[in-house]
Amino acid sequence: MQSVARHQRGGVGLSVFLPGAPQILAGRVAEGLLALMPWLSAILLLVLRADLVSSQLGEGSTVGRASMALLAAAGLAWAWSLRDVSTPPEAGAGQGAWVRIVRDPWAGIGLAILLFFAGLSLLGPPLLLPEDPGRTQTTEEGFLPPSMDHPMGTDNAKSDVFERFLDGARVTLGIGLLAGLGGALIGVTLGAWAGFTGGWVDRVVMRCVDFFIALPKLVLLIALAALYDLGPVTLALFIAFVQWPALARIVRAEAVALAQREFVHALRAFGVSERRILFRHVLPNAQGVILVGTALAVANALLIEAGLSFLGLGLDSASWGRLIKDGGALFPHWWVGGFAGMSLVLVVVALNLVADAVRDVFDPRADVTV
Amino acid sequence: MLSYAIRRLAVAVVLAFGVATVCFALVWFAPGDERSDLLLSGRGAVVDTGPEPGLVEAYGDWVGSLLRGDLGTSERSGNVARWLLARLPHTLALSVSGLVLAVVFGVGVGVLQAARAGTVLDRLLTLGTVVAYSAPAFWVGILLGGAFIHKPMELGMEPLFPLTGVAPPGGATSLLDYIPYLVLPALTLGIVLGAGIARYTRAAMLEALAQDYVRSARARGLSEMRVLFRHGLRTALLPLISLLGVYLPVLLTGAVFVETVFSRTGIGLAMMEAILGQDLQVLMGGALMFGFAAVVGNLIADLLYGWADPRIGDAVRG
Repeated sequence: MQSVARHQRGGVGLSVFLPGAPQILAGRVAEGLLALMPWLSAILLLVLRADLVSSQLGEGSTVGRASMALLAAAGLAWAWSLRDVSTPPEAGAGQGAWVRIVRDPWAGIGLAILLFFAGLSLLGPPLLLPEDPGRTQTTEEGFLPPSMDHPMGTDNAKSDVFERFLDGARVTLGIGLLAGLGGALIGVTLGAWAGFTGGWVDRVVMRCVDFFIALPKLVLLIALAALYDLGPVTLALFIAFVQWPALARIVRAEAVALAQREFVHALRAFGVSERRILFRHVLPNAQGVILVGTALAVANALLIEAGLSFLGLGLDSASWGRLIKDGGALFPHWWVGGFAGMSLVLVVVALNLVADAVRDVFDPRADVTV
Repeated sequence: MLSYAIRRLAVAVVLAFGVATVCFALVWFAPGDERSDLLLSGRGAVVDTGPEPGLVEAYGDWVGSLLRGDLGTSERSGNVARWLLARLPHTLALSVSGLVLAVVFGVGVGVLQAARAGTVLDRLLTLGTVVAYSAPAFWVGILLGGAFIHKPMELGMEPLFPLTGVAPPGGATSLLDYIPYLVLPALTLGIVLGAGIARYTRAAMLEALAQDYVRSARARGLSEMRVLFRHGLRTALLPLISLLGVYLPVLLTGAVFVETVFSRTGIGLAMMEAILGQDLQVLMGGALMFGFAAVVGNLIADLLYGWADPRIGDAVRG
């Protein structure tokens, strides 16, 4: 207890300059990193691009709005950290499932990685790239190694890899998120409906699931992407279509188990409608499974999008997969594909870390695997 | 068991039919001229003369020629079935050796982790398997290629493994000629797939080792090795068989990517080249072959599981 108190006391001074640092020192890595990152990036922005920010801050331009967002996030993080260290911890706090997930060190690192890439893809292009409207910045030479002018070097077509990396982050993460969430939505709805209703609905839905799970979906997706001209939304839709069966199967198993529980019978006896039981009582009780499945679906969707682009079958616009493809062999020009490849792995690892932590918290049997 | 096998076989036939139908639908609804090219190419000169066949007629033709093992002919590659079959051994060699490596890695690492649960080694391996499990096959392949081929070349040394292809120019005369070309691609698949198997094996082993019969085996004074392998691993391995069925599509898709990275002239690379060369017959033939391979692999995994665990025959539907 004493060491905690000392951290808290010394923390006030520290958190004025480095919000989040006291929390990291006290072992709450996630909360600390989540507060520290916007703060540090806001300072970096003010130091490196002071002229840009000062000229655009009041304007309604993208740059102005993005800087405002970053500064607001940094201010929030600062206020939260200061408030957090100056209030004594409440007795008995920190028992809730969500708090336990955030305080799991590995999940914390995962969440921090996800926030980092979300921030980078949203705020990076307006704030970090030169402002010329076309943003078709060609350089004097191809295959330049990373330098101050080109943080990730240049590629064979003499374009700035950092610029392509940021664009690719938007494409890959955006389509991955859209497709993963879409697949999760379909899977959860169908799985819960089938498991909760039972009877022929269950049999039909599960037969479809069996069929789709056994199909070599990615090979068919490759053929599909080769034959059809896919836009971002259709591509996300088809990737989502690959994701739903796995989720439907997990959620259905959970719904079947929950539908037999006594509280469901009790709700029925009270005359609560079936739909209300399903949405207000069964699904919330399956949230752990749903969350794990959704995180894994997003991870999978990211990998599929990157894979298709790697084969040259994705969207025409840049994607991390495309960057990796253009990078070709890793040496001697490792910077072309290297950053995208490593970031792809990092994001998927982060999603897996979060999913593992959620599973440990919600699944009572998880004690065995820890 | 027999009735289970027959039912399972029937499901596999339906699945194979479904794969073929999905492939047909992909082509039929595709924009452009591809569809008439593909659907009529098997029938020679009909293209110019007769009217466009309707959906039902074309579908019937397609299924009929499939049943005869006819995948049509293409200008670029001739008889598609023969063209793909010539490349099948390279894909098979890759998939089988990748699978063997994956099981060896996965089970080995998983058992080691379970035996040393909670130690630093266990934690490090857990982190390592999460990373390997998250990495796409093509990226792992590029990393391995970079480390063993391109980095040595950049430093002016001989690469440790041949650059691309499946065999030395002029063809492989013995297995020893063939294996160097196989090492990195198989290793790639082994790492990607093995990470998942390791994660599963670790969890299943820990669960098995927590059972009462393991405690009583230890109480009887059996050696730790014997407890681990006879009592722990045997229980843990059984469901792994069905897990392999689940991994099969991953293995096949992985083969497409790995063949692309290492320019192995298997079916996956044939499909990629077909896309570039607008060779629709080869693309669809490859998709069909992968589809049927997945169906057959699933069938084998299910039958093996039913044979290994007789309770399954009655318990599992379909």
